[in-house]
Amino acid sequence: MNGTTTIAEFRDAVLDPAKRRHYQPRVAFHR
Amino acid sequence: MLHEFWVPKLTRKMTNVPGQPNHIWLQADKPGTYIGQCSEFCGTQHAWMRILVVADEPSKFEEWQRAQLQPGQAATSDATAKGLALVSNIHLHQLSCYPRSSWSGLAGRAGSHACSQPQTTWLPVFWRIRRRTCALWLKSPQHIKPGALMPDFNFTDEQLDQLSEYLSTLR
Repeated sequence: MNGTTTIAEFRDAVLDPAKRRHYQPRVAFHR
Repeated sequence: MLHEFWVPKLTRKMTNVPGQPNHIWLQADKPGTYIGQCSEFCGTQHAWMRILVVADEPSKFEEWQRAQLQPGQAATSDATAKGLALVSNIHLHQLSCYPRSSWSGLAGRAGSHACSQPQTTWLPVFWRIRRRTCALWLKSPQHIKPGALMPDFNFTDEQLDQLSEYLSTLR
């Protein structure tokens, strides 16, 4: 069970989008 | 009522819209238990809308699946038989919505298998440890979870004892 989410990891993912699996760097829509 | 399914380590968010079937791909690269949370404010109990995804190795999953397909645990006494009858007659979701652990989607399955995953053993465990709270939850959901739309089954004390007897036999 080494993929198990710890509470700390969950908190990090909630607070920081970069720690989420499907994070994509934000692309500016305007030029 | 909108909810939003979100397990950050497995997938993006998916809003749940009543009447609109949605599909989402969950990918776990390693076996484990992955925490999720409803991420659309859905009411006063939103914070307790936890999600737990269990990813097993294929062989372990098949073992679990085989066990799920077996007949449920038989009642061992008159009181447990009556408790089992009560559980069979209500929607198990009522039992699975104890505020500490709405983590247990699995508990919505056939009653006697409700506790077959380690993560869903909370029901008999809490029942033993916090029997009075659990009994109160079944007897008067509004008392514990104001605003809940759960029906009140108006269990008698005797029925609560029978439920308790049955639930305490689950492992």
